Amino acid sequence: MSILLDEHSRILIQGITGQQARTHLKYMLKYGTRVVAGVSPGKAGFEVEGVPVYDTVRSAVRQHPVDIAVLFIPARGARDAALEAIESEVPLVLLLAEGVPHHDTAQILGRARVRGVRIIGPNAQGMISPGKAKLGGTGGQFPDRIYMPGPVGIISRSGGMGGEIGSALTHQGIGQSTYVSIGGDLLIGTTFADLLPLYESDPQTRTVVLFGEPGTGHEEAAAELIGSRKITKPIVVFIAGEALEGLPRGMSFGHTGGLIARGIGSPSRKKRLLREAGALVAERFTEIPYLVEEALRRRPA
Amino acid sequence: MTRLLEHQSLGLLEAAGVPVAPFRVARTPDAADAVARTLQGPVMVKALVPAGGRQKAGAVTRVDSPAEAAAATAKLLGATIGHFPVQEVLVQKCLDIREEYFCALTFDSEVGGPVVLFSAAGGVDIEELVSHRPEALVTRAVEPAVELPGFVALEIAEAAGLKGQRLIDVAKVLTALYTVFRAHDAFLVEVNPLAVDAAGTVVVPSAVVTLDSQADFRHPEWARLVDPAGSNGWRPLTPLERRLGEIDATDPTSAIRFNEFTEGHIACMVTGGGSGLVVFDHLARLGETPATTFDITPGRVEEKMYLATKAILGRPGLRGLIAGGNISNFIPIDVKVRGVVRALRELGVNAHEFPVVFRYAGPGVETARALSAEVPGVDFCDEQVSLEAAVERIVRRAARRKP
Repeated sequence: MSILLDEHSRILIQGITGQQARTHLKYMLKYGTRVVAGVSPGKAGFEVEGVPVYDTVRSAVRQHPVDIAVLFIPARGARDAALEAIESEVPLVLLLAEGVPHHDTAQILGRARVRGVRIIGPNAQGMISPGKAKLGGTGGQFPDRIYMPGPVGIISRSGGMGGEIGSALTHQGIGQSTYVSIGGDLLIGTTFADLLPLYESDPQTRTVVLFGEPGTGHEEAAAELIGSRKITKPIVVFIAGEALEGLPRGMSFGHTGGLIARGIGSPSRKKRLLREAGALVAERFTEIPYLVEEALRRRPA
Repeated sequence: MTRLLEHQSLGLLEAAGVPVAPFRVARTPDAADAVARTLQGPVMVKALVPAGGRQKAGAVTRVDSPAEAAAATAKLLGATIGHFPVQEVLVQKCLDIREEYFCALTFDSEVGGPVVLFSAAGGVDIEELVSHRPEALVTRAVEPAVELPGFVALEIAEAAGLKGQRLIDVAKVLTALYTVFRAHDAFLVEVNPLAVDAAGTVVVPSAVVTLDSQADFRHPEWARLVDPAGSNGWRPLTPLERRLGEIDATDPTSAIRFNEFTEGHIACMVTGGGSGLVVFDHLARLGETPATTFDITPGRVEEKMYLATKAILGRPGLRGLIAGGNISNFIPIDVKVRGVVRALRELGVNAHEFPVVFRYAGPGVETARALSAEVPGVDFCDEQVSLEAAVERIVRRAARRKP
């Protein structure tokens, strides 16, 4: 098993004729990802890597039932493309674009709530269920260099650092069930607390690593969930950015989620709440694989 | 996120029909005197700087006469408030304030959309309100629409305990503020205090509007509002930060984010938001501050990496350079390394004397390793060396160069 994505998941790619989409489509197909259709307005009837192209999501899903839409669409087109997928009732929409205006994201998330659609992102790198399928940029051309199948779930607000965790675990001989890059923006569709219950009921997953950052209440919400004992699997956490607390307010490293506002969002508070909730909190990034080994001992297969 | 100056914020509110205390901008004491005469009665003189906490910093003065307005202006002009030199002041009619409310419109990560925050207990910091009187703050998640429905605004005012005409007037202001929030792609609209004067009129004496920089592609008019030499959120840009801004403007396919820390000694060019944080934390743990933080989004990056490296290494007082990032999934890293190495070679850097640690992993790593060998003494690390271990290497080497 795995969560949200496996070798049977039927994938639709919006913006399939773009350069980035073409490159990653090749890598995704090579890994075994089941891409069934693509959308690119005005290009209906063409094929990319053998995948049929449609003008609209509506006409694509009429021919091919899909589970996930992956949007290789730049920020300025993201709202329209995401709303198109939502209105066509694609159950899961993965938004890769960085720099989507917050009012646009709010509109996407609002509409998705009404239609019961799950959004991942924006500003997400992708996701991978090692050995089964991968989406977006995650894993690139040689995913086996970073990821291997196994019992550890990964959720990261930083796409790059999720890969760094995968790589550190793989080098230690520890595999992963599913890695989800949830995006670094303030407004994102799927948070730690949304995914933890899925990992909890996934038989393959025995522990989950969370990579958190300053800002937002996502780590705080995860702490509450873990503390409520609804999550029984051990959770390993790393929160980056504690040194930022010593800097003047208003400074940001680009991730819009990184703004500490209204007294919430400081890494030290997030770490304290997670520790109190019973999570294994790494002080240093390099401790993560050892804490994962500890978690796996606590939760034998 | 770009924080507008107060006269710009007040201008946007006024245009949306919000009652604003009359104001003018003055650049000289004489001009302030003239504005005070026009406004009549006591006025407020406020330094126009893009920083919060102006009251505490002594940048807001209440005066009773035009002559005093001129004197207060003369004192503020040329002063530095929160790192910003004061070049203009706002002269504004002084209100006889009887009640103070707080209101703000922004986005909330847990709601996943816009929220309206309102309190009848205004005039204090929101942080103070949240920690001491959380029950006095009304937080209302609203649907992301073009307008705030009138009934929602009324419900917010009602929940805050307002009654009668006051309830209706405040609701009108909230609706108009939402229009500003939405129409101008704002990330934050905050009015604190929202005042009630002696005549019972609800009126805005000051406001903060922060624009969502992720929406700048659809707001060409922002170029007029925002000072290009601007600020990084808490102080004016340093000359090096301005130079990096120029370098960034040379190619639209990628974007540089750069900060300089005057007290730091190790130049840091670790890209990727998350890995930058991890490196920053570990430097701090080892008692160091980076001299720079540098990030660049994917695109045509080689030339920018070259120009940026040259500019950054021109900064005096450096004891070493760490460049790299997290393991790359799909972006070839040798392109970045090519730019950095070209700069190091041109500058004649010998890494036995000026320590350089690279931590590059991912596609193109062998090419990158070979390129780095063109600069003598570069310590090249791949994914076998953690980001934190790479930081330890540069700190250890740089320590030997302490004066």
